[in-house]
Amino acid sequence: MENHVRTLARLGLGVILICPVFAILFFAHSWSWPDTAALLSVLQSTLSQSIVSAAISLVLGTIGALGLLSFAGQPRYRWFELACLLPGFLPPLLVILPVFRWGSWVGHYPFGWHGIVLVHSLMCIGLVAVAVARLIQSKLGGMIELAWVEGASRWSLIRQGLLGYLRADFLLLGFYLVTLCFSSFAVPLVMGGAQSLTIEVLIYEKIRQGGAWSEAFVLSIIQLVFLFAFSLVLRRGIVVPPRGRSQVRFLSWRLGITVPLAITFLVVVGQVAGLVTGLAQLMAARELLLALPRLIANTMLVGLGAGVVAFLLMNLVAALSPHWGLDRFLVGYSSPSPVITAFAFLLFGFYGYWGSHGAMILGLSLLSLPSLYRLFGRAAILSLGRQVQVARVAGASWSLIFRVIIFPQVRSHFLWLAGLAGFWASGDFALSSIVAESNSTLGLMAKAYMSSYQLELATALSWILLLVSGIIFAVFGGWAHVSHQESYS
Amino acid sequence: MSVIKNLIRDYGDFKIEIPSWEIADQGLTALWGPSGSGKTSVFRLLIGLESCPGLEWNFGGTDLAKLPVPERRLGVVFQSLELFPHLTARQNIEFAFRARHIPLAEREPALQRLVSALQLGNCLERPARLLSGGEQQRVAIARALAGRPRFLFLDEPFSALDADLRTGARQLVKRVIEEFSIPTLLITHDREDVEALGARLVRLREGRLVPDDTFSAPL
Repeated sequence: MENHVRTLARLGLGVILICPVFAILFFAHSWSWPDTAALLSVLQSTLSQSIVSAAISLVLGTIGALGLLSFAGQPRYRWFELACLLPGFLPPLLVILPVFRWGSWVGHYPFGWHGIVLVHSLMCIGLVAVAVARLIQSKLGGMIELAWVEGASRWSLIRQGLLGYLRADFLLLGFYLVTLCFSSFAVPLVMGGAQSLTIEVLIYEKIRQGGAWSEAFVLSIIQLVFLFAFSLVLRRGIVVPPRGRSQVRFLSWRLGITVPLAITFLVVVGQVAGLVTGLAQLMAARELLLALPRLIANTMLVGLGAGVVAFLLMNLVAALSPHWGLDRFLVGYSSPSPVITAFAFLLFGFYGYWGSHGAMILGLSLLSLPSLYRLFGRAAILSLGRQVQVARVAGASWSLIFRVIIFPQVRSHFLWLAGLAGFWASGDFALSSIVAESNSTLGLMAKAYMSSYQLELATALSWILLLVSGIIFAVFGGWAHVSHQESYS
Repeated sequence: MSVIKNLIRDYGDFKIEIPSWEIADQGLTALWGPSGSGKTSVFRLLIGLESCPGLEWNFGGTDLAKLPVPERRLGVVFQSLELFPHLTARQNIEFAFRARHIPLAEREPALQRLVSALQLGNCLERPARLLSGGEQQRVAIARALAGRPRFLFLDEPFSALDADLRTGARQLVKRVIEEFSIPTLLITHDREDVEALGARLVRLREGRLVPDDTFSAPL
């Protein structure tokens, strides 16, 4: 009986995750093939920006990794890692803002294809640097030490070790980046302006402006086919290994660290530049000032709500694990696009204040679940596999196992993840811009000011956003800390 | 005797092939073989952690292989022990009581008996992650016995211990198994475990049980 309930629950979870696609399928009524020339053009543009962004990120990220390795084994290595990761983990708005301010060499708003590639690369280079540095340490560490002792040249190590032995890992990482950029919506939406440069933005335009549901549905199916094909390649999963202890300085190149650190510096300074003017403008903008408490409250609501829902979803996944099929599904599953998800909530009748904010909370937590699972949650769940086996052999029911063994051990991990989900959700302006009836959150308002080139005001709002997001993260982080103390006291 | 039939599983590059095997339903039997001989696979197949469609295991008139894993009522000590690190030694043992729905009134006497037999008095209230290797092993055995299993499995139980602790641990395990009179299958690659515990020896090579005279084991 208990096993049947678990099977049904797993199916239910799967249906919830892919329900946006079902909703579009249900409401589309008819199929209508979009204009082939336009489709091919947008496909070419989506693919090319994804591939070029991934290639730039891989090359510059690897250079960054060589720089990062020169600090391996030192206490500051951890800080450099965090600095590299920062642009990838911040809400996209905060990375886009500096590009608006200093990106005139790429073009002016709308920045178009080059702007999309630039922002995607800025967000991914640090992630690649950390991932490649860890891969080198864990997979090449011993080889590098041996080669060093035997007097091999650095070039032969790079050629045979890095480019030879790690070739498959680089390809996998590249595919992961292509998938990430292919399904990105927030960045193309702002950087591309009114031009439908990616398939995601085209779907958005079809529904929002033309009401062409049937064409949007076909486009979303085409996008899903691509994402599914990518997921087949990615089914091995990207696993970022822990930091190694090998002596890898022989391969390192200290100057390389300047690449990811310069990006982080740019992003951080981008938030500071114009802040004083922005705050002065904010003080003078009476209407905005009056609306600020409401914007902050709504942003808090969305962030905290998304965090709580993400926490519940992660616990549901843990309660239904370990299960090979569920794990494969979550590892290979690519969320339906934010656009499809957002429109599905509108089709389900999520209108009005509570409806639109409910859609933001549910939609953003559903979209973040696969990333949370793949990046961090999976390892926490899988690490308990043997304990669960012992408990099962001992005769424990699944509910006892979850209550006594799984939940106390994953709770603090999942609360950190909930904090991350809340942090991301509070800065969202992509899905939110579809479901919200007005610029009701800080992210939406900042995006509106940025799009109208009122960068100082956008900067001031982004600081308030950062503060609110930080509070949301701290709330979950504090809760996680207390939970950890409770579990292990 | 408990009778195992059709313990056959093809892993592609490796095959477990034991058409029939009689295990004594009392005392200690040791499944001994070198690394890669398939001991752990046999252990996992019998416990039910891996599927083995044709398997039959007649134990006292019940075909254990047809029962779901929790209902087989087996006790197990993994090589890695797998104590629940966030629980104390006492809570680890009590987990087995809860799992098997042992009546509340019987739990404390049963716990005291295990504490006494396995010399756990000093570490009962300490978190499992803070116990020494020897203490962890004793708690794992106590937890396995707390659920009143019909059969106990020990997977390389001494391999994680230092050499000086191993002798004492072997004696303790032997005494506890005798005291609780529970049929036990010991999985080991160490011939000294078999001799110290006085176990009946079953040899495994390349997934098959082999008679004594076909295989000369290094001592």
